[in-house]
Amino acid sequence: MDKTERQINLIALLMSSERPVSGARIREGLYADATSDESFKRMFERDKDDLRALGLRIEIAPIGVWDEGYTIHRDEAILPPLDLTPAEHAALMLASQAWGEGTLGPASPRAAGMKLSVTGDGDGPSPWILPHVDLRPPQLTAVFDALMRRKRVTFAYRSSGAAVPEERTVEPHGLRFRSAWYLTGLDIGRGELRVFKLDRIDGAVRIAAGSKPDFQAPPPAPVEWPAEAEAGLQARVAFTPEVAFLVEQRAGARRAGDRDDGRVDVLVAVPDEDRFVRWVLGFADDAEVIEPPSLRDVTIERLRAAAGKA
Amino acid sequence: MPPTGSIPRLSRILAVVPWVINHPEQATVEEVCRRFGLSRDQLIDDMALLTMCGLPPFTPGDLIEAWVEDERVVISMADYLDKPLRMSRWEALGLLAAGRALAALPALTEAQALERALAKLAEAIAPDEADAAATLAERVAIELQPASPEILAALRDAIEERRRLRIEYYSFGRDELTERTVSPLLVFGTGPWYLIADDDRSGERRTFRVDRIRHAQPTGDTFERPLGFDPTREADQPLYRPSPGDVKVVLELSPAASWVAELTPHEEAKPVKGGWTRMTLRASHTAWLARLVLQLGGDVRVIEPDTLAAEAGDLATAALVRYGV
Repeated sequence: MDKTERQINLIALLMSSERPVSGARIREGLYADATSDESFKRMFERDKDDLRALGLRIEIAPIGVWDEGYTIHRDEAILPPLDLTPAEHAALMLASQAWGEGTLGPASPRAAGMKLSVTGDGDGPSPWILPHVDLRPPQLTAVFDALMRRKRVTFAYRSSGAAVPEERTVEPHGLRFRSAWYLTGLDIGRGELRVFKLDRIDGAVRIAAGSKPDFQAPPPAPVEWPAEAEAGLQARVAFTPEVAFLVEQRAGARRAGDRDDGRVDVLVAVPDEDRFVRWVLGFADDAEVIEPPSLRDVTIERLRAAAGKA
Repeated sequence: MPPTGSIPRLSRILAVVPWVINHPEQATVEEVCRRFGLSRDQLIDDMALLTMCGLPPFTPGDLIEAWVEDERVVISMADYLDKPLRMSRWEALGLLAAGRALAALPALTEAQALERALAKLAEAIAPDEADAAATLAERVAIELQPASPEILAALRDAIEERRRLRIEYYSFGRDELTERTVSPLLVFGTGPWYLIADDDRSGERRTFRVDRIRHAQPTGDTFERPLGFDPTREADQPLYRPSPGDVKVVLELSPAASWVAELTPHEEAKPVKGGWTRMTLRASHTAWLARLVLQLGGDVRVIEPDTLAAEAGDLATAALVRYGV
């Protein structure tokens, strides 16, 4: 019997039976493939875990005075009516549809929406906005698993600017999706909390051996993103109106005044000077660094080199 | 279509079966496939599996009946599967994490409904799983990129009321501000956000970056939503659709510039000597690439086309004029 087939049959058997079903009957009806008591027990336990991941709990209950059997409490197993208004139902469906293909742990985050759609009266209007959370990064499964079980992970990591990947061992504390997936956690080698972009992990993520957690549950802490670190330096840059509106949407940017020639002065936080100069250069002649003089000079120097006038 | 096995098979069957049983009128092959993200072959396979399931001793009278007739999906003899099951912690996590991120988005008229719905969700989660789901949601966070509330609200109203919009749009590829009239259909993405709209002049469906829309004004006209427009499918389309006139571009990126390959849709990226990366892509316009080359300076080598390096040099010369040097 195929595994999915057997699991459906197990649900059917326990859901349709008024009384708990004995282990012997379950084995005889569904686990005829099991060659020993051990192998039956192993298969049955694994099936129970799989069903639990989908929200279905198999429990032990007495049969008569002497015996025990297995049961699914139908009232606990079945999704009750949630009294959702059509707007509330639509909003939850939207949250479910935000997830791309793939799984997070043993289940798909889209499955909740599928369950809800059975009870919904209709679909309502088509959404105007549809976020997309990508579940395809290959490292996500292992990192998520380690995060859930509080296990250390080891992987080769390409830092920005490093030519060769370096091995890192990390206590995973959290996962964030922010256009891409990031792991936050304690870098054991460096003794510091760090942020790792999953796309920069080279090859497989290895999870520490053993089933016991490797560390205590850390308190949920806000992550400090490198780019948002306190920026001591501020630059004033004149932008042409064609691009000024793009710049004003950036975090840490503020419109500071209009120039006679139509350009707009914007104050920009500079957490990292190199990155700032690179960013300004991307606007070519649509941007001019006004202050501070040091950054203006570096920008001019880079432009001279690019123009072949160094 | 999603790859086989993208949603665990059992989980999808346990949702499809009660839905079909409770919606016999709506259950066409096409509708079931669309709703549950299945290919036709997957659905047929699932139906075949169901016909082998039932209760021991599995005589014909004990088995589930499942078949397709005139493009309709029919399932019977499965009363024990006629209701959806409660959610596990893993499933609830999906709604909690994405729901919170959405509720925090400005211009989302659904935000209040969403918050009320998330509060009611506790009932939907299996016993003992609710606390675990809450703990998981503290560890997994989704952040959606902020966007201009005014622009987002204008797009939302226009999409919902089917109003044409005149947008002022900065074309990054060509480095110019353009004005056009569009029929907006959907906002999608996670950062950055994109607008899918039919461009009225060319009649083509186009993708616009929301943060590059400077103004959006209704024209006063309305439009008909195209038949069969499927938001999920549209959002799954690749952002860059190559066209025959595109130029082949080959760049070599230093280790310090490897982020470029992460952010730029490309055909191929392979390691070359010294930790550098050789990236091949196709582009309809090269203005943005010239600016990229200018940005990267010594961290990029232009292999193809020859003109690109000169274009970047010209940009630098023009910028130096701004500085008066």
